[in-house]
Amino acid sequence: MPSWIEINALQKNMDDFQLGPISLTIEPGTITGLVGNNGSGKSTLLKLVMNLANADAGTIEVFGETVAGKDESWKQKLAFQPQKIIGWDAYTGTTLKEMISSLYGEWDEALFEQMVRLFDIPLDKRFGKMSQGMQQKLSLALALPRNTEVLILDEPTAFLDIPSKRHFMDLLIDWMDAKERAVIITSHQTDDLRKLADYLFVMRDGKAIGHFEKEALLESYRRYWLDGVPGDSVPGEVSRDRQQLVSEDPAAAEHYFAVQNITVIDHAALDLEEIIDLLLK
Amino acid sequence: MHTWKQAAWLAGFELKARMKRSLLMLAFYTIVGFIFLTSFDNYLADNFYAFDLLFLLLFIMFPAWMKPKIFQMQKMDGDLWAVPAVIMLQQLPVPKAVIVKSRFIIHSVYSFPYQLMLLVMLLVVSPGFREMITPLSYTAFVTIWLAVSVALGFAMAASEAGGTFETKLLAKSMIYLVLGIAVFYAAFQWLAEEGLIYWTIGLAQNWPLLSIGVSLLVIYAGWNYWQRVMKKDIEKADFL
Repeated sequence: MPSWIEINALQKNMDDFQLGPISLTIEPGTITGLVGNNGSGKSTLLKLVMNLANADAGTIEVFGETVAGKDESWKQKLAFQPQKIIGWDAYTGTTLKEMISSLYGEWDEALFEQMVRLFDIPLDKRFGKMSQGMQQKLSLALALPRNTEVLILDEPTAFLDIPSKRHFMDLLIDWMDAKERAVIITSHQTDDLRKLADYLFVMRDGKAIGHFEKEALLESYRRYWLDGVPGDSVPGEVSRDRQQLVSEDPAAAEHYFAVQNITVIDHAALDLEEIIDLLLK
Repeated sequence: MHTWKQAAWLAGFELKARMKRSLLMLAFYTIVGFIFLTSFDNYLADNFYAFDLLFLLLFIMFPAWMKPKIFQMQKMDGDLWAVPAVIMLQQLPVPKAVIVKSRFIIHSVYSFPYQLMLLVMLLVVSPGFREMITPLSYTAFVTIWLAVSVALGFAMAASEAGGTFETKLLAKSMIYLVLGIAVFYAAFQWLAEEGLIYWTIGLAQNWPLLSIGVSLLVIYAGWNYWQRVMKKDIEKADFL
Protein backbone atom coordinates (compact mmCIF):
# COMPACT_ATOMS: atom_id res chain seq x y z
CA MET A 1 0.00 0.00 0.00
CA PRO A 2 1.41 3.45 -0.89
CA SER A 3 2.34 5.85 1.89
CA TRP A 4 -0.19 8.48 2.81
CA ILE A 5 2.43 11.08 3.60
CA GLU A 6 5.84 11.09 2.01
CA ILE A 7 8.48 13.59 3.10
CA ASN A 8 11.65 13.58 1.04
CA ALA A 9 14.90 15.35 1.93
CA LEU A 10 12.95 18.25 3.41
CA GLN A 11 14.92 21.30 4.51
CA LYS A 12 13.95 24.60 6.01
CA ASN A 13 16.36 27.31 7.03
CA MET A 14 15.42 29.91 9.58
CA ASP A 15 17.49 32.65 11.24
CA ASP A 16 19.22 30.52 13.83
CA PHE A 17 17.85 27.08 13.05
CA GLN A 18 18.06 24.59 10.24
CA LEU A 19 15.54 21.80 9.86
CA GLY A 20 16.50 18.72 7.93
CA PRO A 21 17.21 17.09 5.69
CA ILE A 22 14.22 15.04 6.87
CA SER A 23 12.74 12.02 5.12
CA LEU A 24 9.73 10.31 6.62
CA THR A 25 6.81 8.24 5.39
CA ILE A 26 3.50 7.74 7.12
CA GLU A 27 1.70 4.50 6.41
CA PRO A 28 -2.02 3.85 6.87
CA GLY A 29 -3.02 2.21 10.13
CA THR A 30 -0.09 3.58 12.11
CA ILE A 31 0.50 6.05 14.92
CA THR A 32 3.81 7.85 14.62
CA GLY A 33 5.21 9.75 17.57
CA LEU A 34 7.49 12.69 16.80
CA VAL A 35 9.98 12.87 19.62
CA GLY A 36 12.67 15.43 20.29
CA ASN A 37 14.00 18.02 22.68
CA ASN A 38 12.49 21.52 22.78
CA GLY A 39 13.32 23.36 19.58
CA SER A 40 14.15 20.19 17.66
CA GLY A 41 11.80 21.22 14.86
CA LYS A 42 8.81 18.92 15.47
CA SER A 43 6.20 21.68 15.23
CA THR A 44 7.99 23.24 12.25
CA LEU A 45 7.89 19.88 10.48
CA LEU A 46 4.14 19.55 11.11
CA LYS A 47 3.50 23.10 9.89
CA LEU A 48 5.46 22.33 6.73
CA VAL A 49 3.26 19.27 6.19
CA MET A 50 0.23 21.57 6.52
CA ASN A 51 1.83 23.93 3.97
CA LEU A 52 1.89 26.77 6.49
CA ALA A 53 5.46 27.50 5.41
CA ASN A 54 7.58 26.95 2.33
CA ALA A 55 10.35 24.37 2.27
CA ASP A 56 13.79 25.44 1.05
CA ALA A 57 14.49 22.00 -0.39
CA GLY A 58 12.79 18.62 -0.61
CA THR A 59 9.16 17.66 -1.11
CA ILE A 60 6.09 16.75 0.90
CA GLU A 61 3.38 14.68 -0.70
CA VAL A 62 0.04 13.96 0.94
CA PHE A 63 -1.96 11.24 -0.79
CA GLY A 64 0.21 11.76 -3.86
CA GLU A 65 -0.38 15.53 -4.02
CA THR A 66 2.46 17.99 -3.44
CA VAL A 67 1.32 20.18 -0.56
CA ALA A 68 2.82 23.28 -2.16
CA GLY A 69 0.91 22.66 -5.40
CA LYS A 70 -2.21 24.38 -6.74
CA ASP A 71 -4.56 21.53 -5.75
CA GLU A 72 -5.46 22.03 -2.09
CA SER A 73 -7.99 19.19 -1.87
CA TRP A 74 -5.55 17.08 0.21
CA LYS A 75 -6.46 19.30 3.19
CA GLN A 76 -9.81 17.47 3.36
CA LYS A 77 -7.88 14.36 4.37
CA LEU A 78 -5.85 15.93 7.16
CA ALA A 79 -6.92 17.30 10.52
CA PHE A 80 -4.33 19.39 12.32
CA GLN A 81 -4.39 20.37 15.96
CA PRO A 82 -1.52 22.82 16.53
CA GLN A 83 0.22 23.29 19.85
CA LYS A 84 -0.83 26.94 19.98
CA ILE A 85 -4.29 27.54 18.61
CA ILE A 86 -4.56 30.84 16.78
CA GLY A 87 -7.70 32.62 15.67
CA TRP A 88 -10.26 30.85 17.82
CA ASP A 89 -10.35 33.27 20.76
CA ALA A 90 -13.36 35.33 19.64
CA TYR A 91 -15.64 32.36 19.08
CA THR A 92 -17.69 30.12 21.34
CA GLY A 93 -17.43 26.34 21.13
CA THR A 94 -20.80 26.24 19.39
CA THR A 95 -19.67 28.67 16.68
CA LEU A 96 -16.39 26.83 16.16
CA LYS A 97 -18.28 23.56 15.84
CA GLU A 98 -20.65 25.11 13.30
CA MET A 99 -17.71 26.37 11.23
CA ILE A 100 -15.45 23.32 11.42
CA SER A 101 -18.10 20.62 11.09
CA SER A 102 -19.37 22.14 7.84
CA LEU A 103 -15.93 21.92 6.27
CA TYR A 104 -15.58 18.16 6.70
CA GLY A 105 -17.89 15.80 4.84
CA GLU A 106 -17.37 12.93 7.31
CA TRP A 107 -18.02 14.96 10.48
CA ASP A 108 -19.12 12.66 13.33
CA GLU A 109 -21.66 14.64 15.37
CA ALA A 110 -22.25 11.77 17.83
CA LEU A 111 -18.54 11.58 18.66
CA PHE A 112 -18.39 15.35 19.13
CA GLU A 113 -21.33 15.27 21.54
CA GLN A 114 -19.81 12.32 23.39
CA MET A 115 -16.52 14.23 23.83
CA VAL A 116 -18.31 17.40 24.96
CA ARG A 117 -20.13 15.39 27.64
CA LEU A 118 -17.05 13.42 28.65
CA PHE A 119 -14.85 16.52 29.00
CA ASP A 120 -17.69 18.70 30.29
CA ILE A 121 -16.95 21.46 27.77
CA PRO A 122 -18.97 24.71 28.11
CA LEU A 123 -19.82 25.29 24.45
CA ASP A 124 -21.36 28.70 25.09
CA LYS A 125 -18.12 30.13 26.46
CA ARG A 126 -15.65 32.01 24.26
CA PHE A 127 -12.51 30.02 23.47
CA GLY A 128 -10.30 32.89 24.67
CA LYS A 129 -12.02 32.86 28.08
CA MET A 130 -11.45 29.13 28.63
CA SER A 131 -8.59 27.69 30.70
CA GLN A 132 -5.73 26.10 28.75
CA GLY A 133 -6.95 22.65 29.71
CA MET A 134 -10.49 23.37 28.52
CA GLN A 135 -9.17 24.90 25.30
CA GLN A 136 -7.25 21.72 24.65
CA LYS A 137 -10.31 19.57 25.37
CA LEU A 138 -12.41 21.62 22.96
CA SER A 139 -9.77 21.51 20.24
CA LEU A 140 -9.57 17.72 20.60
CA ALA A 141 -13.37 17.48 20.48
CA LEU A 142 -13.17 19.48 17.25
CA ALA A 143 -10.34 17.36 15.81
CA LEU A 144 -11.31 13.70 16.18
CA PRO A 145 -14.87 14.01 14.78
CA ARG A 146 -13.53 15.43 11.51
CA ASN A 147 -12.87 11.78 10.63
CA THR A 148 -10.05 12.56 8.27
CA GLU A 149 -7.68 9.86 7.11
CA VAL A 150 -4.77 11.52 8.90
CA LEU A 151 -4.85 13.26 12.26
CA ILE A 152 -1.91 15.46 13.26
CA LEU A 153 -1.72 16.33 16.93
CA ASP A 154 0.94 18.67 18.29
CA GLU A 155 1.24 18.14 22.06
CA PRO A 156 -2.43 17.19 22.47
CA THR A 157 -2.26 16.24 26.15
CA ALA A 158 0.09 18.90 27.56
CA PHE A 159 -2.66 20.62 29.58
CA LEU A 160 -5.06 17.72 30.19
CA ASP A 161 -5.77 16.43 33.68
CA ILE A 162 -5.13 12.73 34.34
CA PRO A 163 -8.73 11.44 33.83
CA SER A 164 -9.16 13.50 30.66
CA LYS A 165 -5.88 12.21 29.30
CA ARG A 166 -7.03 8.63 29.92
CA HIS A 167 -10.40 9.32 28.24
CA PHE A 168 -8.64 10.87 25.27
CA MET A 169 -6.27 7.90 24.87
CA ASP A 170 -9.21 5.49 24.89
CA LEU A 171 -11.09 7.61 22.36
CA LEU A 172 -8.08 7.83 20.09
CA ILE A 173 -7.52 4.07 20.18
CA ASP A 174 -11.23 3.44 19.38
CA TRP A 175 -11.02 6.03 16.62
CA MET A 176 -8.02 4.27 15.09
CA ASP A 177 -9.75 0.89 15.31
CA ALA A 178 -12.91 2.10 13.55
CA LYS A 179 -11.32 2.70 10.14
CA GLU A 180 -7.96 2.72 8.42
CA ARG A 181 -6.35 5.93 9.57
CA ALA A 182 -3.01 7.36 10.57
CA VAL A 183 -1.98 9.63 13.40
CA ILE A 184 1.11 11.79 13.83
CA ILE A 185 1.55 12.93 17.39
CA THR A 186 4.21 15.00 19.11
CA SER A 187 4.52 14.60 22.82
CA HIS A 188 6.98 15.00 25.65
CA GLN A 189 4.86 12.56 27.67
CA THR A 190 6.51 9.17 27.25
CA ASP A 191 3.44 7.52 28.78
CA ASP A 192 1.37 8.77 25.82
CA LEU A 193 3.93 7.48 23.36
CA ARG A 194 4.28 4.12 25.07
CA LYS A 195 0.52 3.58 24.96
CA LEU A 196 -0.20 5.00 21.53
CA ALA A 197 2.73 5.00 19.16
CA ASP A 198 3.66 2.25 16.71
CA TYR A 199 6.61 4.20 15.36
CA LEU A 200 8.85 6.88 16.80
CA PHE A 201 10.57 9.48 14.69
CA VAL A 202 13.30 11.00 16.81
CA MET A 203 14.70 14.47 16.12
CA ARG A 204 17.45 16.51 17.69
CA ASP A 205 18.31 20.11 16.77
CA GLY A 206 16.45 19.89 13.48
CA LYS A 207 18.06 16.64 12.39
CA ALA A 208 16.51 13.18 12.20
CA ILE A 209 18.08 10.70 14.62
CA GLY A 210 16.03 7.79 13.35
CA HIS A 211 12.65 6.30 12.56
CA PHE A 212 12.05 3.33 14.85
CA GLU A 213 9.40 0.71 15.30
CA LYS A 214 8.58 1.22 18.97
CA GLU A 215 8.58 -2.43 20.10
CA ALA A 216 11.82 -3.12 18.25
CA LEU A 217 13.35 -0.02 19.83
CA LEU A 218 12.31 -1.17 23.30
CA GLU A 219 13.89 -4.58 22.70
CA SER A 220 17.06 -3.15 21.28
CA TYR A 221 18.31 -1.65 24.54
CA ARG A 222 19.25 -3.62 27.65
CA ARG A 223 20.87 -2.79 30.97
CA TYR A 224 23.26 -5.31 32.55
CA TRP A 225 24.57 -5.61 36.09
CA LEU A 226 27.93 -7.35 35.85
CA ASP A 227 30.24 -8.96 38.36
CA GLY A 228 33.25 -7.23 36.86
CA VAL A 229 34.03 -4.21 34.72
CA PRO A 230 35.09 -5.13 31.18
CA GLY A 231 38.25 -3.39 30.10
CA ASP A 232 37.24 -2.90 26.47
CA SER A 233 34.18 -1.35 25.03
CA VAL A 234 31.26 -3.80 24.97
CA PRO A 235 29.39 -4.18 21.65
CA GLY A 236 26.59 -1.67 21.44
CA GLU A 237 27.67 0.03 24.67
CA VAL A 238 25.97 3.37 25.10
CA SER A 239 26.55 4.04 28.79
CA ARG A 240 28.44 2.63 31.74
CA ASP A 241 28.18 3.36 35.45
CA ARG A 242 30.52 1.22 37.55
CA GLN A 243 29.23 -2.37 37.11
CA GLN A 244 26.12 -1.27 35.31
CA LEU A 245 26.19 -1.12 31.52
CA VAL A 246 23.66 -0.34 28.79
CA SER A 247 23.97 -1.84 25.31
CA GLU A 248 21.94 -1.13 22.20
CA ASP A 249 22.98 -4.51 20.79
CA PRO A 250 21.99 -7.04 23.48
CA ALA A 251 22.75 -10.16 21.41
CA ALA A 252 26.29 -9.03 20.62
CA ALA A 253 26.83 -7.80 24.20
CA GLU A 254 25.69 -11.11 25.70
CA HIS A 255 27.95 -13.03 23.30
CA TYR A 256 30.82 -10.79 24.37
CA PHE A 257 30.09 -11.41 28.08
CA ALA A 258 30.06 -15.20 27.46
CA VAL A 259 33.35 -15.11 25.55
CA GLN A 260 34.98 -12.85 28.14
CA ASN A 261 33.63 -14.93 31.06
CA ILE A 262 31.86 -11.94 32.55
CA THR A 263 28.94 -12.96 34.74
CA VAL A 264 25.71 -11.10 34.23
CA ILE A 265 24.17 -10.72 37.71
CA ASP A 266 20.96 -9.26 36.36
CA HIS A 267 19.59 -7.59 33.27
CA ALA A 268 16.51 -5.59 32.40
CA ALA A 269 14.95 -3.76 29.49
CA LEU A 270 15.10 0.04 29.50
CA ASP A 271 11.91 2.01 29.61
CA LEU A 272 11.02 4.29 26.73
CA GLU A 273 11.97 7.45 28.58
CA GLU A 274 15.48 6.19 29.21
CA ILE A 275 15.89 5.15 25.58
CA ILE A 276 14.69 8.53 24.31
CA ASP A 277 17.02 10.21 26.78
CA LEU A 278 19.94 8.20 25.38
CA LEU A 279 18.95 8.95 21.79
CA LEU A 280 18.70 12.68 22.45
CA LYS A 281 22.07 12.97 24.23
CA MET B 1 -19.35 31.83 -7.56
CA HIS B 2 -19.03 28.93 -5.12
CA THR B 3 -15.76 30.51 -3.94
CA TRP B 4 -17.51 33.81 -3.13
CA LYS B 5 -20.38 31.97 -1.43
CA GLN B 6 -18.01 30.05 0.82
CA ALA B 7 -15.98 33.21 1.46
CA ALA B 8 -19.12 35.10 2.49
CA TRP B 9 -20.17 32.24 4.76
CA LEU B 10 -16.76 32.25 6.49
CA ALA B 11 -16.69 36.05 6.75
CA GLY B 12 -20.09 35.86 8.43
CA PHE B 13 -18.59 34.16 11.49
CA GLU B 14 -16.17 37.02 12.12
CA LEU B 15 -18.73 39.72 11.39
CA LYS B 16 -21.38 38.15 13.63
CA ALA B 17 -18.91 37.66 16.49
CA ARG B 18 -18.65 41.43 17.05
CA MET B 19 -21.90 42.70 15.53
CA LYS B 20 -22.93 44.91 18.49
CA ARG B 21 -19.47 46.48 18.71
CA SER B 22 -19.48 47.20 14.98
CA LEU B 23 -22.83 48.98 15.21
CA LEU B 24 -21.54 51.06 18.12
CA MET B 25 -18.45 51.90 16.10
CA LEU B 26 -20.58 52.99 13.16
CA ALA B 27 -22.48 55.32 15.50
CA PHE B 28 -19.18 56.66 16.90
CA TYR B 29 -17.81 57.14 13.39
CA THR B 30 -20.96 59.00 12.38
CA ILE B 31 -20.60 61.43 15.30
CA VAL B 32 -16.88 62.00 14.67
CA GLY B 33 -17.53 62.38 10.94
CA PHE B 34 -20.37 64.83 11.57
CA ILE B 35 -18.25 67.04 13.83
CA PHE B 36 -15.35 66.93 11.39
CA LEU B 37 -17.43 67.70 8.30
CA THR B 38 -18.87 70.88 9.81
CA SER B 39 -15.60 72.53 8.75
CA PHE B 40 -16.07 71.49 5.11
CA ASP B 41 -17.49 74.87 4.09
CA ASN B 42 -14.33 76.55 5.48
CA TYR B 43 -12.29 74.14 3.36
CA LEU B 44 -14.24 75.04 0.24
CA ALA B 45 -13.86 78.76 0.92
CA ASP B 46 -10.22 78.93 2.11
CA ASN B 47 -8.58 75.71 0.84
CA PHE B 48 -7.98 74.68 4.46
CA TYR B 49 -5.53 72.01 3.30
CA ALA B 50 -5.08 69.98 6.51
CA PHE B 51 -8.71 69.01 5.91
CA ASP B 52 -7.69 66.76 3.01
CA LEU B 53 -5.31 64.77 5.18
CA LEU B 54 -7.83 64.42 7.98
CA PHE B 55 -10.48 63.39 5.47
CA LEU B 56 -8.18 60.72 3.98
CA LEU B 57 -7.41 59.46 7.47
CA LEU B 58 -11.09 59.25 8.35
CA PHE B 59 -12.02 57.80 4.96
CA ILE B 60 -9.26 55.22 4.39
CA MET B 61 -7.66 54.37 7.72
CA PHE B 62 -10.36 54.81 10.33
CA PRO B 63 -12.68 52.02 9.12
CA ALA B 64 -9.82 49.51 9.20
CA TRP B 65 -8.81 50.66 12.67
CA MET B 66 -12.39 50.15 13.83
CA LYS B 67 -12.03 46.44 13.28
CA PRO B 68 -11.92 44.68 16.68
CA LYS B 69 -8.32 44.22 17.83
CA ILE B 70 -8.77 40.47 18.08
CA PHE B 71 -9.30 40.33 14.29
CA GLN B 72 -6.52 42.79 13.36
CA MET B 73 -2.95 42.11 12.30
CA GLN B 74 -0.91 40.98 15.30
CA LYS B 75 2.67 40.15 16.11
CA MET B 76 2.95 36.40 16.58
CA ASP B 77 6.10 34.46 17.39
CA GLY B 78 9.36 36.19 16.47
CA ASP B 79 8.96 38.60 13.58
CA LEU B 80 5.81 36.96 12.23
CA TRP B 81 2.91 39.37 11.73
CA ALA B 82 -0.45 37.91 10.79
CA VAL B 83 -4.20 38.19 11.12
CA PRO B 84 -5.17 35.22 13.35
CA ALA B 85 -8.09 34.29 11.08
CA VAL B 86 -5.74 33.81 8.11
CA ILE B 87 -3.70 31.27 10.07
CA MET B 88 -6.82 29.57 11.42
CA LEU B 89 -8.36 29.16 7.97
CA GLN B 90 -5.14 27.83 6.47
CA GLN B 91 -5.23 24.97 8.96
CA LEU B 92 -8.69 24.04 7.70
CA PRO B 93 -9.68 22.72 4.26
CA VAL B 94 -10.27 26.20 2.90
CA PRO B 95 -8.60 27.12 -0.41
CA LYS B 96 -6.37 30.19 -0.34
CA ALA B 97 -8.59 31.92 -2.91
CA VAL B 98 -11.51 31.60 -0.48
CA ILE B 99 -9.42 32.95 2.42
CA VAL B 100 -8.49 35.99 0.32
CA LYS B 101 -12.08 36.63 -0.72
CA SER B 102 -13.37 36.27 2.85
CA ARG B 103 -10.83 38.88 4.04
CA PHE B 104 -11.95 41.21 1.21
CA ILE B 105 -15.59 40.79 2.18
CA ILE B 106 -14.75 41.62 5.79
CA HIS B 107 -12.70 44.66 4.77
CA SER B 108 -15.57 45.80 2.54
CA VAL B 109 -18.03 45.56 5.44
CA TYR B 110 -15.64 47.59 7.61
CA SER B 111 -15.07 50.16 4.84
CA PHE B 112 -17.93 50.83 2.45
CA PRO B 113 -20.76 51.52 4.93
CA TYR B 114 -18.52 53.92 6.89
CA GLN B 115 -17.25 55.61 3.74
CA LEU B 116 -20.70 55.97 2.21
CA MET B 117 -21.90 57.38 5.52
CA LEU B 118 -19.14 60.03 5.36
CA LEU B 119 -19.94 60.94 1.74
CA VAL B 120 -23.69 61.21 2.47
CA MET B 121 -22.99 63.31 5.56
CA LEU B 122 -20.93 65.68 3.43
CA LEU B 123 -24.08 66.40 1.46
CA VAL B 124 -26.19 66.81 4.60
CA VAL B 125 -23.75 68.95 6.59
CA SER B 126 -22.34 71.32 3.94
CA PRO B 127 -24.69 73.83 2.24
CA GLY B 128 -21.74 74.96 0.08
CA PHE B 129 -21.23 71.45 -1.25
CA ARG B 130 -24.96 71.01 -1.94
CA GLU B 131 -25.00 74.20 -3.96
CA MET B 132 -22.07 73.28 -6.18
CA ILE B 133 -22.99 69.67 -7.01
CA THR B 134 -25.71 68.09 -9.19
CA PRO B 135 -27.06 64.54 -8.68
CA LEU B 136 -24.93 63.24 -11.58
CA SER B 137 -21.74 64.93 -10.40
CA TYR B 138 -22.43 63.72 -6.85
CA THR B 139 -22.68 60.16 -8.21
CA ALA B 140 -19.36 60.70 -9.98
CA PHE B 141 -17.84 62.16 -6.79
CA VAL B 142 -18.94 59.12 -4.73
CA THR B 143 -17.62 56.72 -7.40
CA ILE B 144 -14.27 58.53 -7.49
CA TRP B 145 -13.91 58.18 -3.74
CA LEU B 146 -14.95 54.54 -3.76
CA ALA B 147 -12.23 54.00 -6.36
CA VAL B 148 -9.77 55.70 -3.98
CA SER B 149 -11.01 53.37 -1.25
CA VAL B 150 -10.36 50.26 -3.37
CA ALA B 151 -7.06 51.44 -4.87
CA LEU B 152 -5.54 52.58 -1.57
CA GLY B 153 -7.66 51.11 1.22
CA PHE B 154 -7.64 47.54 -0.03
CA ALA B 155 -3.85 47.51 0.22
CA MET B 156 -4.64 47.10 3.92
CA ALA B 157 -6.86 44.09 3.20
CA ALA B 158 -4.09 42.58 1.08
CA SER B 159 -1.55 43.17 3.84
CA GLU B 160 -3.58 40.79 6.03
CA ALA B 161 -1.67 37.99 4.31
CA GLY B 162 0.98 38.70 6.93
CA GLY B 163 4.56 37.55 6.85
CA THR B 164 7.88 37.90 8.57
CA PHE B 165 8.87 41.52 8.99
CA GLU B 166 11.64 42.90 11.15
CA THR B 167 10.41 45.62 13.50
CA LYS B 168 13.15 48.01 12.29
CA LEU B 169 12.12 47.44 8.69
CA LEU B 170 8.46 48.02 9.58
CA ALA B 171 9.31 51.29 11.35
CA LYS B 172 11.38 52.40 8.35
CA SER B 173 8.54 51.54 5.95
CA MET B 174 6.09 53.55 8.05
CA ILE B 175 8.43 56.57 8.03
CA TYR B 176 8.84 56.32 4.25
CA LEU B 177 5.08 55.98 3.83
CA VAL B 178 4.38 59.09 5.90
CA LEU B 179 7.13 61.01 4.07
CA GLY B 180 5.78 59.79 0.72
CA ILE B 181 2.27 60.98 1.57
CA ALA B 182 3.63 64.35 2.75
CA VAL B 183 5.67 64.84 -0.45
CA PHE B 184 2.74 63.76 -2.66
CA TYR B 185 0.39 66.06 -0.83
CA ALA B 186 2.73 69.06 -0.95
CA ALA B 187 3.38 68.46 -4.67
CA PHE B 188 -0.34 68.10 -5.31
CA GLN B 189 -1.13 71.39 -3.57
CA TRP B 190 1.65 73.09 -5.49
CA LEU B 191 0.67 71.72 -8.92
CA ALA B 192 -3.13 71.75 -8.62
CA GLU B 193 -3.31 74.83 -6.38
CA GLU B 194 -6.24 73.25 -4.61
CA GLY B 195 -6.96 70.41 -2.19
CA LEU B 196 -7.53 66.80 -3.17
CA ILE B 197 -11.25 66.78 -2.35
CA TYR B 198 -11.77 70.06 -4.14
CA TRP B 199 -9.97 68.64 -7.16
CA THR B 200 -12.17 65.51 -7.19
CA ILE B 201 -15.26 67.74 -6.97
CA GLY B 202 -13.94 69.50 -10.06
CA LEU B 203 -13.49 66.17 -11.87
CA ALA B 204 -17.03 65.12 -10.94
CA GLN B 205 -18.48 68.47 -12.08
CA ASN B 206 -16.60 68.79 -15.37
CA TRP B 207 -16.39 65.19 -16.56
CA PRO B 208 -19.00 63.21 -14.59
CA LEU B 209 -19.44 60.32 -17.03
CA LEU B 210 -15.73 59.97 -17.74
CA SER B 211 -15.02 60.11 -13.99
CA ILE B 212 -17.58 57.37 -13.34
CA GLY B 213 -16.15 55.20 -16.14
CA VAL B 214 -12.53 55.61 -15.06
CA SER B 215 -13.44 55.10 -11.39
CA LEU B 216 -15.31 51.87 -12.17
CA LEU B 217 -12.26 50.63 -14.08
CA VAL B 218 -10.03 51.51 -11.12
CA ILE B 219 -12.43 49.70 -8.76
CA TYR B 220 -12.40 46.60 -10.97
CA ALA B 221 -8.62 46.61 -11.43
CA GLY B 222 -7.84 47.41 -7.79
CA TRP B 223 -10.24 44.79 -6.47
CA ASN B 224 -8.60 42.06 -8.59
CA TYR B 225 -5.03 43.32 -8.24
CA TRP B 226 -5.06 43.40 -4.44
CA GLN B 227 -6.61 39.92 -4.31
CA ARG B 228 -3.78 38.57 -6.46
CA VAL B 229 -1.23 40.35 -4.26
CA MET B 230 -2.74 38.87 -1.11
CA LYS B 231 -2.86 35.33 -2.51
CA LYS B 232 0.79 35.55 -3.60
CA ASP B 233 1.80 36.93 -0.20
CA ILE B 234 -0.01 34.10 1.61
CA GLU B 235 1.83 31.60 -0.57
CA LYS B 236 5.16 33.28 0.17
CA ALA B 237 4.65 33.70 3.93
CA ASP B 238 6.00 31.30 6.53
CA PHE B 239 3.47 30.99 9.34
CA LEU B 240 5.92 29.41 11.78
